[in-house]
Amino acid sequence: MKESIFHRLYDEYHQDVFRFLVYLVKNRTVAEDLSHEVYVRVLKAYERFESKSSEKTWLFSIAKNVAIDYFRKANVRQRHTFDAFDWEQEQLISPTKSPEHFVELSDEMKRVLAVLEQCTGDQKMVIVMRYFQELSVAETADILGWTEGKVKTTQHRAIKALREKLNKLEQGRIRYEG
Amino acid sequence: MKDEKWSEQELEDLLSQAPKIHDNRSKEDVFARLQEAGAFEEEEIQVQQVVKRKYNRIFTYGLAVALTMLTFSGIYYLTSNSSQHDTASTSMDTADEESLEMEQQPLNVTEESADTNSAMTRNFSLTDIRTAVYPEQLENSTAFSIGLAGNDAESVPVTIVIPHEKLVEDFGTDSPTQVEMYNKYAVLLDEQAAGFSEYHPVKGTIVEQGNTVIHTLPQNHGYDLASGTMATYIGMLIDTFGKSYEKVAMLNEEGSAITFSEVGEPSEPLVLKERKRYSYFIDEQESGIYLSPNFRQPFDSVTEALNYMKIEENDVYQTAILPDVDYNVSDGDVVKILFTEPLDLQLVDPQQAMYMIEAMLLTAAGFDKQIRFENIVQTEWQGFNFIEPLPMPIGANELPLDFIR
Repeated sequence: MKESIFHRLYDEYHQDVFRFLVYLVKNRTVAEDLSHEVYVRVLKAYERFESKSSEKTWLFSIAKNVAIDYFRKANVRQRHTFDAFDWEQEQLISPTKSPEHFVELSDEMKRVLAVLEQCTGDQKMVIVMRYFQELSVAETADILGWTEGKVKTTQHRAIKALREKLNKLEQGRIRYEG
Repeated sequence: MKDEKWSEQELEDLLSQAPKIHDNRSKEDVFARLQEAGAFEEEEIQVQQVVKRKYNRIFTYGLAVALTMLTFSGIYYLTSNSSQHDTASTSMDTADEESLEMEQQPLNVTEESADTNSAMTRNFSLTDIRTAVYPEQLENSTAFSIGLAGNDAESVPVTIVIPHEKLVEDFGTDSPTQVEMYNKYAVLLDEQAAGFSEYHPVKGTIVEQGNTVIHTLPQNHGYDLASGTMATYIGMLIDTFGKSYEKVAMLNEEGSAITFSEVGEPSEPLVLKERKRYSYFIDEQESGIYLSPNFRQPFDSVTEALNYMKIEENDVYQTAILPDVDYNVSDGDVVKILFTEPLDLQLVDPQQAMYMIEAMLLTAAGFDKQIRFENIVQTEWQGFNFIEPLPMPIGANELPLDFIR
C-alpha cells in the first residue's frame, strides 16, 4: 500500500518537490534529506489525507513544513532565537553555502538567489512557488493556507524588495569596480 | 554582468527562466533509503501510544501462532510450558478488539512473534509492554536520556537506546559522553512527531568539564519567563544529564553564573545527585502514557517515595497503582514490596499492571535500589522473574531510535 503510494507520488511529483526544496535550502544534500523527510511524513499521514485540497498542494504543504522546520532548527543553532521563529517574517537563510552544487545557475541567478535570502520568509516562499515551481496563485494560496489576495500582495512586495536589493547590489559593485 | 538597473519585467523574466534542477539520485536509491528507515511499514512506531497498539496487535498475532502450535502439539505442550500458557491467556483480554487487524499484519511478524517468550532481549517490537530501558538492552547499545517538553510545563524523561554501530558511525567511538550525544542528536529529534513541543536543542551552548555540564545561555533565552518555563528547563537538565554528571552550571555569555528572573540572584550549580529521589506517576501526554516524577517532589527515603505513589495526587499526574491494590514497603539492600492481597496479573489489564510495576522500579532506582515483589501469583511475567529482585531500570519511557531523524 505505502510502496504503491510512494511510486505514484515519486513519478508525478518527485522532481518538483526536490526542486522546491533545493531552491529553498540551496544545498543538494540537504534537499535530499528533506525530500526523504517529506516522504516519511506523507506516508505516515496519507490515510488522513481528506482530499480537501489537491494531492499536489497537500504534498507541497508538507514539503513547505519540512523546510520551515529545517530553517527553524538552523535558526536555533545559529542565532539562538528559537521560540520566536516566525517563518513569514524571518529570513529563511540556508546555513550551508554551497554554490558549487549549482553549476546549472548563471551568475545572475546566483545573485538573485543570494539576495532572495535577504527577503522575508513569506516573500522567498512565494517567489520560489510562483516562479521556480510555476504554481498558480490558487495553488500557492492553498499550500500556504493564505487567501489568493495575500499571495498576490506578497508576490508584488517580493518582486519590489528583490529589485531594490539587486539594484543596490549592482550599484555597489559598479562603484567598487569603477 | 548587468550594468543597469533591474526592471521588474527583467527580474520576473529571469525568475521564470530558473533552471529545472533535478535530483540526480535514482528512484531506487530514494526508495531504498525510505525502506531502510522503515517508512513502508504499515504501522510506524513513533510514539508510545502507537507502540502500545502495535504491541497488542503483535501480541494477538503471537497468540494465534501460539494457539496454532498448541493445537498441533497437544496437551503435552500446554502442560510443559506454563509460562507460555500464561502469556497466551493474558493476551486473550487484548485480542478481541484488534483481532480484525490480524490479517493485515505483514508476514515478517511471524518471525518476530516467535520470540514471544524471550522478551528480555527487547528491541522495540515483540510483545514487550515494558516502557523503561533495562540493563540487558545495553549489551551492544548505549542509553541516551533526554527531557522533552510536555503538555503541562514539565519535562518528560525519555530514553533512546542507540546501537554501538550507530555511535561508531556518528562519533567514531561507541562510548560518546551524554553531552556529545546531546549536541549531536538534540537537533535531530522529531519532537513534534512524538507529540511534544519543540524544545531542543536548547539555546546557547552545552559543554562538559569533568563531571560538570556547563550551559552557557544567551541573553533573552526565555527559560525564566515564568515558573512553568523554569520548571521545564530545570527538569530537562535533570532528565538529560542527571544520570551521567554531578552538576550543571548555568552561565551567561560573560562566563559568570546566570541570574534567572524567577530567582533574582546568581544561580548555584544544579546538583544532580540530589535531584532524582522522586516518585513516579502516570503522566498522560497527547502522544500517550508516560511515567514521570510527580512535579519532582523529592523524598528522603525510598519508603516514603514508594508509599506516596498510592496517593491520587493532582490533575496532571495520576497514581500508577492499580485500584484496590495495596502494599507494604520494607527498605533494605533490596527494597521489598509485599502486596497485602495476592496479586494475580492475569486478572488485571497487563499494560496498567506494567505501569504500576515500572513506576515502582523507577522510583526505587532514584535511590539506587532494586525491588523484590512478594505475593504476586505468577513467578514470571512479561520477562520479569519475581523470584529475584527485578532489574533497576536505566531510564524511563523508551522511545524508538527513529525518534532521532
